[in-house]
Amino acid sequence: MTALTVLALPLRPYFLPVNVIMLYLLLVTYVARYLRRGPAVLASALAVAAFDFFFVEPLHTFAVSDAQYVITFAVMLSVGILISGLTGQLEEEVEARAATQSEVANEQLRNSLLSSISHDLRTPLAGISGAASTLLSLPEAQLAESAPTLLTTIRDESDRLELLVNNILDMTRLESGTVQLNLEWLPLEEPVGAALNELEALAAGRRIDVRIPGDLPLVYGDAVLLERLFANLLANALKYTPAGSPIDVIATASDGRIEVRLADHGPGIGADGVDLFAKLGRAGRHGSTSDTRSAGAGLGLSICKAIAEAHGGSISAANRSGGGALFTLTLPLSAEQPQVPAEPVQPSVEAA
Amino acid sequence: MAGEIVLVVDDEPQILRFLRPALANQGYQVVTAQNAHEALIQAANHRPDVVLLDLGLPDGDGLTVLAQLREWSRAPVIVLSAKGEEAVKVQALDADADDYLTKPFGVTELLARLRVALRHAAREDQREQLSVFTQDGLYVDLIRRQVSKHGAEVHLTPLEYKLLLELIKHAGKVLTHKHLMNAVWGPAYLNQSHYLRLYMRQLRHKLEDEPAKPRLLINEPGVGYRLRAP
Repeated sequence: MTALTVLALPLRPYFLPVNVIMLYLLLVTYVARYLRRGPAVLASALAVAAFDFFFVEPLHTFAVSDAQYVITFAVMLSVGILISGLTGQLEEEVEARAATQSEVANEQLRNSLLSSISHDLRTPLAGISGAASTLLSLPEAQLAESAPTLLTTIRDESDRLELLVNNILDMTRLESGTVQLNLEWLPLEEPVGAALNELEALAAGRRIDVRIPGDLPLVYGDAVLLERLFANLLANALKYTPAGSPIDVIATASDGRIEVRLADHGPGIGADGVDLFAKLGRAGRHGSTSDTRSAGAGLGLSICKAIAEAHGGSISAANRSGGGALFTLTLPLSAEQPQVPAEPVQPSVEAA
Repeated sequence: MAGEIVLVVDDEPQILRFLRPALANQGYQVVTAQNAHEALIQAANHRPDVVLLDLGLPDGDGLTVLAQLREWSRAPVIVLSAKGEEAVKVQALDADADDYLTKPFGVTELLARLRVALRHAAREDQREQLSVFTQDGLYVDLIRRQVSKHGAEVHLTPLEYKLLLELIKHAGKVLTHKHLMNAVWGPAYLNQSHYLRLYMRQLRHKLEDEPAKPRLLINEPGVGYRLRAP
């Protein structure tokens, strides 16, 4: 309002008062568009006052020489208020419509997530209950031969069910915002090592090369959540790559951040632009839609993303030029690393 | 090892159903309780050698049972809890539980933990002093204070050795960050947990074949560290 008045003042001799009124009303419209109803009504009143004070004879008073101007002021004020009201109303309607649309989208996402999860839950459950009822129905003579295979099925399927249930719980907690980060200074090899430890059975016989420099700065993060992140990333890589192929985990620090790259030699992530980290993203990986081994993998990656973001970092996926997928996790690096008082270095620990 | 009495405190019949034959098969005598009240009565009547204690009991907190048990019994207690309850595990361990297992757990793992707990208790009873610790190519002569890995001597700083010694004393058992900080640096340093992390990293680089894939110094996220026991 002030800016407009200052701008218009030197031009007073050249402007018709009606154009000044138009300019003020234009300003009121913009205020209504971007600042909503309250400020716009205020702007209308200020516009009338400023017009009277600076542009209506006698100048620089609120007095009015021509009674016609009283009508001008009244019309100006009413038009201003009317514009404020209409614009505000329009904005609110647009917002309400957008909210409804996102609600519908959310509802759709929830439904498809639910049906995908219940499918993933049913698959291992079918395996367990099938194997168990077969065991119960087998004649004793056949038991010794078939029992080991059926029992192994029950154990493996239960493991898969556990993974899925853990992922659903993690996702629910992360989404509801009830997760409180328990931040500590950690060497990156701790969450990575714990994840490898957890996946020991799944990774049996697989080559996983981990390269973490011994002087990599410490990460300020939540030990439990970071372990979940690496466990999910590694589980995903193990699931989607052929049995003999190696997996590389390489960590580097540069430009105020820590980068962890996880490269595999599997079929890659496909080029269809599907967001792997979205909750239903597992369809994006080659052959995965029909692959029943994928239980919980889609959720796993969205958990990775949520955890990375909770730490102020990010995660991305790409195809490697030589084939295979490359997942890159970036975590911010604090400039202030914690210090430990130096200890006198002794050649050896001698007998006391 | 046959004949030791294991008290299993858990309100889920499914858990008891598989634990009973699994433990009996290893020669343990199994006593069960399904709630806190029953647990204390069974403990008093049978004087178990080791207790498996579920933390979520219908009539009370497993931690309360642990505290009441500790008033008169030194029997090792292995706590059973669900995933994502790291804070409760730490609470239990700091309240003198000996170890924990996360449900669902495998029987092999449970039996290994039971053996570690019983071995510990036996050693404490006889005030037996370990003189040598060996595992995965690591050799520690506790009397001469010498450490070697695959036959090559390893030089440790006094604090690194103190940390390793504390882990060896409780080998196989998880030790909370608080426990280790207290034992190595003292109570004044309890909130400087990065000391511990950095010394663990140094130890891993000196003692592990692949420091990024530890086989000896196992990290339990959010809880503490465990030295893999022979």
